[in-house]
Amino acid sequence: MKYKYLSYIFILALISACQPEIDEFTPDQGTADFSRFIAVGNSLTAGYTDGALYEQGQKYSFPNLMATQFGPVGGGEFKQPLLSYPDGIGLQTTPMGTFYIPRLTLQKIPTCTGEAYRPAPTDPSYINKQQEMAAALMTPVSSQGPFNNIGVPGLKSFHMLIPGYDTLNPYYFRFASGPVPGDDTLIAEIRRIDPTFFSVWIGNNDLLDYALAGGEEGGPAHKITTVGPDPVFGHPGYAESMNTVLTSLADPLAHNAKGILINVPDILMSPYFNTIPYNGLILRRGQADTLNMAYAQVPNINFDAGPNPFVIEDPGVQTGMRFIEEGEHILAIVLDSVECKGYGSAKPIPGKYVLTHQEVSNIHGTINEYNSELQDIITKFPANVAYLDFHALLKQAHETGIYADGIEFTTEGITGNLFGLDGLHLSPQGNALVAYYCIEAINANFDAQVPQVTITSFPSIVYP
Amino acid sequence: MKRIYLSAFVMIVFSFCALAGGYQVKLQGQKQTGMGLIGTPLSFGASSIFYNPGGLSFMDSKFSVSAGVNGIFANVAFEKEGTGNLFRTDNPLSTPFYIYGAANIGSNITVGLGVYTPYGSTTQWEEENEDGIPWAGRYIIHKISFSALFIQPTIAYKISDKLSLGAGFIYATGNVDLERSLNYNEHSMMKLEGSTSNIGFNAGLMYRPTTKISVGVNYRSKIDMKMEDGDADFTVPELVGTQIPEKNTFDATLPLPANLDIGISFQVTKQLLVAAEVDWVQWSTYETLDFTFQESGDVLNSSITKNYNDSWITRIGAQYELSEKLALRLGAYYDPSPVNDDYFNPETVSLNTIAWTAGLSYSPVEYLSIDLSYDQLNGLKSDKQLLDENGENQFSGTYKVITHIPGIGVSLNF
Repeated sequence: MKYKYLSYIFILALISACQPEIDEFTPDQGTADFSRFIAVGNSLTAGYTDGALYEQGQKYSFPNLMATQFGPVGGGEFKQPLLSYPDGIGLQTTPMGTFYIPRLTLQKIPTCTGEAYRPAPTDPSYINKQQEMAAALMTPVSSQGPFNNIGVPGLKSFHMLIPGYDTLNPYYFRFASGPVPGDDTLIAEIRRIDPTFFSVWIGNNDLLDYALAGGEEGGPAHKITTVGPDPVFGHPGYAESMNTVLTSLADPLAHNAKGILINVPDILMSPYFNTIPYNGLILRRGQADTLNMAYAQVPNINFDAGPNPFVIEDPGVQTGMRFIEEGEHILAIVLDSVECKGYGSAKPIPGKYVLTHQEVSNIHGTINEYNSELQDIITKFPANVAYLDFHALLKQAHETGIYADGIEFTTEGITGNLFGLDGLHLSPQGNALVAYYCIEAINANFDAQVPQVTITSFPSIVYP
Repeated sequence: MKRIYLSAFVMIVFSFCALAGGYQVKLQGQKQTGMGLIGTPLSFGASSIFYNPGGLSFMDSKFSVSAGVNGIFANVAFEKEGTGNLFRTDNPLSTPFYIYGAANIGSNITVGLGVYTPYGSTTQWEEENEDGIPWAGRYIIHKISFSALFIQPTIAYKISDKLSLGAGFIYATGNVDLERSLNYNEHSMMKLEGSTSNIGFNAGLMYRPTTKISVGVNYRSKIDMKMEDGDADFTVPELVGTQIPEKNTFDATLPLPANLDIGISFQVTKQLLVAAEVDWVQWSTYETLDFTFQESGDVLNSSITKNYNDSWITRIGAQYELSEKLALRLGAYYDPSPVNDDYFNPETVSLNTIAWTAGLSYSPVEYLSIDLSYDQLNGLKSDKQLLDENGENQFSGTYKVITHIPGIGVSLNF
């Protein structure tokens, strides 16, 4: 019987020894040097999401995910200025003023139509903690620097050229290394660690304030800070600012670092601008009749049973109001007023919460201009700069969806997987998708084999 | 008896595996399995009920009974493209079996009944790999198990000493069990479970122009396994529950393709028998796998592109009768994958496969035979991708498979 047991063991050993093996992948840095990687950008680079900058969100930032993947190909440490304040600190500008808010979570809250899941500040007592939050945000962590992640929430292109910008933006102030003789701009901070590799993604914010203000002054802009003469729209300095930062990093005759440049997406495809569909006014026959009586004096406004466009203010038409049209956008900030206070039905939605065709076309025109300027800049350093056309990717997610590892990425709010709860910034999986496409572009441009990020290892949003 | 044990184990060790492409399993007789799964031109008693009902008439005895079971140890490895991350399956042992009985009732007529499992596979991916990375394809498939049981009453008629025809009616039952993670939170998943039945037929002829040559042709019809009102259980966050109900039912159809097998055998010497066979498995019928749900169909219904190709399996095999009591067998075959290279889903990892087989039969007494077999399948390493609705790659990498299938059976002929 001994033999029998021995035979069993032998067979089991044989079966386990017959496991198939595959080893197709060899990491390779190609022509790039990933030892000192620096990420330059705005809130997207910083890992700001769900309405706030917070530690876990920063850990999911796409440059941090990229830095992890750079590990096997000679990558070094990637320091981020983590904000350890519980639930983080964001800035929200509302008609009542600007507030520090903690990150948003999905919560079941009462609305006029009953309880519903909505993104809401984690800690509802934040109104009473404004001073504490301001102090926490202004607490310097620069002694732990210099940092590799130079993502500054609120950063616009021309901010990079303003000396002393750290005194104007608390998110930068907290980690900036302080004045340098001769150059006191953000560019000096970028070059402090002598980067060998970089990511640059700047431009969204140049347009975002304008969009969040409904294209009008006095709108509900999420302004981080106001910098001198700060035209919210179409600042002429984009090409100059981007040329300066990229030349300082990638010029083969000077610093000669390699890196990736990400272009400016159509920010109006973000969930924030599409949460309220233009024709989202669903009426029953009786409701339509009542509204029609109320608007009897207004030509061209005629409600019907079923979906109707919302009514918006428009000083350009004689009656001062009209139906919104497809291709125009309503800001998500008025969701509650639309659902509960008759915005868009009983009374027109104010213009500062609406982007009309003209305003949309201003934004689209500027984005196209910016992206063609970026194309011009990179033709100067083709061997040093990989280019990610995120504008095309977001368009694809918006129109057909992007599928990766069985996950469908769309621009839907909450369930679209790409965006976090604020509808403007990336979810962890969204960050992983951006890191994936960056690595793909880097591998192609620098003949490298950086191991790809596994998107399914990251969560979408946090469901209650 | 000790010597038999030992030789049996040596056999198993040196010979081990028999899955065909897709989810077909052709392990319906240990003797045939030992010879590269060739059965169409051979008459090994009652197991001809599956391999070629026409062969029943050439049974050596009046009664024949045969039963057996195989153990499928399938090991699949997948390296996700561009990552170096290796994932493996954690497949449970699956055990296809067969039981046949046949009797020559005179007037050149033989009748029989077979119960066997010609289709089935379980693919269960490990929760996380050696490096602690969760299975990267879990939103596509985590576990799928499919099995079919056929019951086949059969009749064969010997037209002459050289020619025989046989046919059987097939009653097929099957069930499918599928688990997929959903991208909400770590607990979110979909679990589908359904069973069904349908009918088909199996018919063949065997022609023996000389005492040394035998030719067989066999056709098994396509059977559509139409699952209706299967259970669909969803575990989702409450927020999503308004769109996706927890309890639902689904309809889906899984085709079991038609097979046309043609084989020839030649008795070279009194001891040595050689055989060859070609099987045409008509997988091109498998174009899409459609799931239709009773509720929330607009969100849940899906049509998964399959676009399988027909496959042509070529087999060779030999048997050597060492003595009256002991027969040895060897075989080999090449089974090209029916799965479309561009719609290669980790649920059915079927690769171009080279397999070899071995077997032996020991007859302590004339009417009894103890049959052992081993089949080893080597799914050749290849790069595959899964395209999405936009025709773009959404899941790709390199697959490789090694499967060991030992089997044991017993036959009685009297």
